[in-house]
Amino acid sequence: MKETLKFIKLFSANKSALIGGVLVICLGVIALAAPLLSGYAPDGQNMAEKLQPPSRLHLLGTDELGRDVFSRMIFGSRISLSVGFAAVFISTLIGLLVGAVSGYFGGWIDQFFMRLVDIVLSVPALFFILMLVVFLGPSIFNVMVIIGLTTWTDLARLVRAEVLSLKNREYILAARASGASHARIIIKHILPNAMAPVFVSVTFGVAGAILIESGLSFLGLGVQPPDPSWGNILTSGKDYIETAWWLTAFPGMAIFATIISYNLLGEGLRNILDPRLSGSKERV
Amino acid sequence: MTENALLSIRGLHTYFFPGKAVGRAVEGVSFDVGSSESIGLVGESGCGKSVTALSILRLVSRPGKIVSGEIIFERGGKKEDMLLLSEQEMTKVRGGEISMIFQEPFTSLNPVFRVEYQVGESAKLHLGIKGEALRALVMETLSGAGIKDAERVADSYPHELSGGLRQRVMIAMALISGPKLLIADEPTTALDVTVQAQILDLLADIRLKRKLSVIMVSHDLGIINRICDRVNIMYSGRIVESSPKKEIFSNPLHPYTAGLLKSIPSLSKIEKRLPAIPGNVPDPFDPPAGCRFHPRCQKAMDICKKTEPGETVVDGRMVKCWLYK
Repeated sequence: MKETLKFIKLFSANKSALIGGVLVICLGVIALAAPLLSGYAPDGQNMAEKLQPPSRLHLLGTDELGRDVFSRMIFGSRISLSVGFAAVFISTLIGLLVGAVSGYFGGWIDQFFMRLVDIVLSVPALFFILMLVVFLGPSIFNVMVIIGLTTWTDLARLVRAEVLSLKNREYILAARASGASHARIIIKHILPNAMAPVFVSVTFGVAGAILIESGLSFLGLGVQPPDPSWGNILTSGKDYIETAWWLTAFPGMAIFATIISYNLLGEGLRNILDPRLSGSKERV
Repeated sequence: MTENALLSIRGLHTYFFPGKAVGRAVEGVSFDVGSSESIGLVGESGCGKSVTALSILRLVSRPGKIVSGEIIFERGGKKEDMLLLSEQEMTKVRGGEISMIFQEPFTSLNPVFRVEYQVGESAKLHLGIKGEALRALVMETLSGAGIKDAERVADSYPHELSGGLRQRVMIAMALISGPKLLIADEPTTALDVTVQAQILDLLADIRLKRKLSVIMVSHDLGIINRICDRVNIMYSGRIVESSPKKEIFSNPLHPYTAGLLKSIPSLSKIEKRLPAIPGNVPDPFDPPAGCRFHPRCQKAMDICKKTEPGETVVDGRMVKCWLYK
C-alpha cells in the first residue's frame, strides 16, 4: 500500500504522466460508453442528410452516406483501441518470452533469437506488414495478430538486456540455492524486477500499434468498411477533402490526440520508473 | 572415505573456461563432512573455497564447469553422486537437503518480494505446504533465527531491514525446509563486528538444535575457531592441510597455515607490525610449478619448485608438504 501511494504521488507530480494518463482514461471511457454517447447508429445511413457540416444535430457532421461522423468516430475508437491493446498484448508476450529466454540461457539460444530479431528488423516493417496482410487477408483479427507479430523485437532486446544484468545478482543465486527451477527463476524472480521498462515500452507500443492500424485501414488493408475505424473514415473522407473538411480533420485529430496522450503517459512513466532519469531522489 | 560421512567429496575439479584459457579454480579437492559435524574451509580470496562450495550444489555458472570428481551425498539412506543427478533432482537437493547462505545480505534477497514470500518459497517447493500452515512455519523459522518481531519482519521488504536482520532472514530461508547440510559462504563478512558475533552464536546454536552439518567458508580463522570441529586449509585450488580445530591452532603443520595464524592480531603480544605472508595467491590461469605455495614459502626447498607434494598423514592429520615426507 505504501508503494502504491508513493507511486500515485509521483505520478500526479509528473505533468506529462498526469496529462497523458487523464487523456488515456478519457479515451477509454469514451470507447466503453460509445453506445450511450453516440445518439446514432455508426452505420445508420440517411441520404437526405449526407455531407452536412458540423451542427447541433450532427456534432461532427455527416459523411457521403449520411452517417453521423461523431458516432462513427467513437465506435471507431473501440476498434482502434482494441486493435492497439491486442496487438501490444501479443507483441509483449513474444518479446518477454524471447528476451527472457535469450538473456537467461545465453549461448546458442541467445544467438538464435537475437539473429531472428536482426532479421525481422532488417525487413522494412511496413513492407513486412503489407505482405502479411495481402497473404492473410484484411480483417480486424488479422491486423491485431500481424501488428503483434512484427513489433516484438524492441521489447525482446530490452528484456534481454535487463535479464542479462539481473541474472547474476546474488538473490538469483540464492533462489537457485533454495531449489527454484529455471522457469521459476525467470518468471518469479527475474521478470518482476524487469517490469519497469516493460510498462513504458507497452505504453509507447499501444500508440505505435494504433498508428499502424490507422495507416493500414487508410490503405484499405486494415479494418474493412462498414466497420468504422479512424483510418477508414479518413480514407472515405479524402475524396471530399475540398468540400467536406470535417470528414478528414476530426479522425486525423483523434489519431493525433490518442498517440500524443499515450506518448505523454509513456514518457511520464519512464521518468517515474527509471531512477537514472528522475532528478529527484525519491524513487518507486 | 569414512563410512558414516553425510557428504564426501573426492577429487573435485572445477575449471573456468573463458575463451581459450583454462582457470583451474578447484583442483582435486577431497574431504568429508560427517553427520552434525562442522567443517571449515579456509583460505585467502581466490583460493577456490567459494567455488568448492558452489560446486557442491552444482551452481557454478558459465564459463565455470565441474570437470571431474565425485560428490557423494546421503539421501534417504542411499549414497548418491550428485554430479550424476538430473537437474530436476538437483532442485530437490537445493534448499531441501543442502542449503546455502551467502556473503552479502544486502544483495541476496530479492527486492521485489516481502520477506514472508522469500522465506516461504523454499517450503512451498520442498514441503508442499501453503496458506496458514506456511505462514505459521515462516513465523516459527524467523523466530528460530533469532528475530523477535517476526510478524513485522515477515511483512517487510528487504530494503526496510538492517544487515543483521537480513542475514537472519537468509538463515531462516536456508533452514525452513529442514536441510541436513548448511553451506555458509562467508556469512558474516559483510556485517559489523558486534552483529558478526550474534550471527555466529546463532549459527552455533542452530547447529546443535537441528543436528545440522555445516560447511563454513571463510578467510577468518577467528570465525572458524568459534564454530568448526575440523578445518581444511585451501590454497590455490587444493586442500593443503586438514586437521581437527584444536590441533590446527596449537600446532599448524603446513607453512601456509602457520603464516595465516601468525597474521591474526593478538591481544597478548604487542607487535609493531603484523606479520603477513608476502606475495599473492597464484593466478589460477598460470600457477607456479611444483608446490603452489613455494614462491611465498620461507621453508621452500629445491624439490618444492619441481614436484608437487602428495598427501602425507601426520598423527591422523593430512598435510601436503615436502617437510613431512
